[in-house]
Amino acid sequence: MKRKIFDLLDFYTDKGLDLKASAPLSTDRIRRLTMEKIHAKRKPLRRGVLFAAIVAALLAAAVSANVLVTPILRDYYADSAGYRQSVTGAGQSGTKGGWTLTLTDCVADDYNLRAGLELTAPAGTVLNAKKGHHFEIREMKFPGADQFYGAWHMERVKDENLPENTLRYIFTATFDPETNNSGIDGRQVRLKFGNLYHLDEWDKKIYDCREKWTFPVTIQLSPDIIRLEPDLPVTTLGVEAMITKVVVSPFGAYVYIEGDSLKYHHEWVPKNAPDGYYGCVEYQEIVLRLLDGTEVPLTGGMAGSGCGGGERAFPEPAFLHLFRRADTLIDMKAVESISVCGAEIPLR
Amino acid sequence: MKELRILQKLRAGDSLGLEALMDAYTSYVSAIVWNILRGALSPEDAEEVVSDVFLAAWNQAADLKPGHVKGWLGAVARNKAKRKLRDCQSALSLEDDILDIPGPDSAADEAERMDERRRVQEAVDSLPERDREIFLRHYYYAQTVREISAAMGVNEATVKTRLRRGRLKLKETLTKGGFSHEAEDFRLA
Repeated sequence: MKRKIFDLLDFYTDKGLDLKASAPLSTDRIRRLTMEKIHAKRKPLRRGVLFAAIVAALLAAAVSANVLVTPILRDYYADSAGYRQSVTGAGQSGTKGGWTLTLTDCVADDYNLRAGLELTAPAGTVLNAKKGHHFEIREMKFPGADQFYGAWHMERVKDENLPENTLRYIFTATFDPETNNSGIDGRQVRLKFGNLYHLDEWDKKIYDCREKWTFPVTIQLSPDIIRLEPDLPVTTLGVEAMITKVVVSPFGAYVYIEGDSLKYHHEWVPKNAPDGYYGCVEYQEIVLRLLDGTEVPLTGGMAGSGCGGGERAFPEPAFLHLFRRADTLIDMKAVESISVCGAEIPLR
Repeated sequence: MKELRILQKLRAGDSLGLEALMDAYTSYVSAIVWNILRGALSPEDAEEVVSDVFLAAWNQAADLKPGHVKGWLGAVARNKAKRKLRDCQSALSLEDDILDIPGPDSAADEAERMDERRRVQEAVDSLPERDREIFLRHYYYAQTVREISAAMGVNEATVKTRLRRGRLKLKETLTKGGFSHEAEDFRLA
């Protein structure tokens, strides 16, 4: 059996070497992010499993609704039914200092927002840094809210047919509707990007462009999203609890389980999660079935999953949030049922 | 702030303890996370992961033990960075990272997995000190051969040789019955 040494050492106990820091990471930003997370309004997350997600585009001065750029997400999802059920907002574009940033299209559900972005530099500018080009500023906020409780990341979409002065990205943001003032549907979010840079061979930041863009994006969620309150008994972590809420969207499935029987569950749940913490939310079997009998692989990440009430030291209602995303966008008209730890819930 | 005081404040939910922890270890945690994520993700993504490590320390303060805080942070940093890499469907490229060895299959119970972990720990701990440091710098902390050479004042060829020794030791320990029939092919430089 071929095994990676890097993986074999996962459980190795080391006291910690004296590593000389060479990372181009901002200590101030790390501190700010950490303090924001611990002061989040919602009940404390078991651990920081909120992932970074990216949100919409930037537009500072002129907003153009005539977006001639190919919708990036439409291509990425092959114009699937799941894509068409998720798309929201209109394309926007803005030019500052000769640089144009275009939000081509957005898809969203209660917990995620993804946006396609195309950046075009002034003619003659070559954007081919070995370590890629990145936005230093990337924010998502609800107008009037102090901060946004979620995370985002950006991935570059490689396309050899693009001109040398053009880059494409997909931004993904994940968030919890309960934390962000009751959800995203019908609300306007503001997305801000700026300060494009690349890293030189010594990992030093070299700014390509100091422009900043802000895009307002109004979110209209699909009526095809399924939201249920089944109040169905389920056995999990060795006890009987209640499935109180299930949301199934093109992005995946979100299951809420509650019950006093789950109180202080860290006293019996083993620390067998991949990161060494209690394995409260990783191992429950959730199966999403389609009308044709096939199962949807839910291997696209568990961002937002968490628990509450696991510790006697922190009295709070006991719950499990089991979030399972799909690798692509699911056609809601094709889903038949979902089972959670063997408890079946019909979806139509 | 001394470590014991930091832990007391963390357990009491005092954010000054967390700030002190970050003062002491942000550089260390950043180095580990960036070693793993560079080339695949941006510094901003790595900063998110580093902040998640300290958030974990905040939430799991009861798990932090005096004298073992740095090791705990390093392990969590490594695991969170690995998970991020996996979620972005990227992989880390290390020197000759693959060993062909027996291992617990999917049906193996927890006892077999624990046994393998114990033997990995013993194999690495039994390496001579310099060899062990080189081995861990590369396969645990994901430093490049060049970085290890610069940090330890050892030429790159020697680093590679020491890495090979470590791989052999690990393979020997994890192959049941001692040396496999392939052992004759390996000669230490």
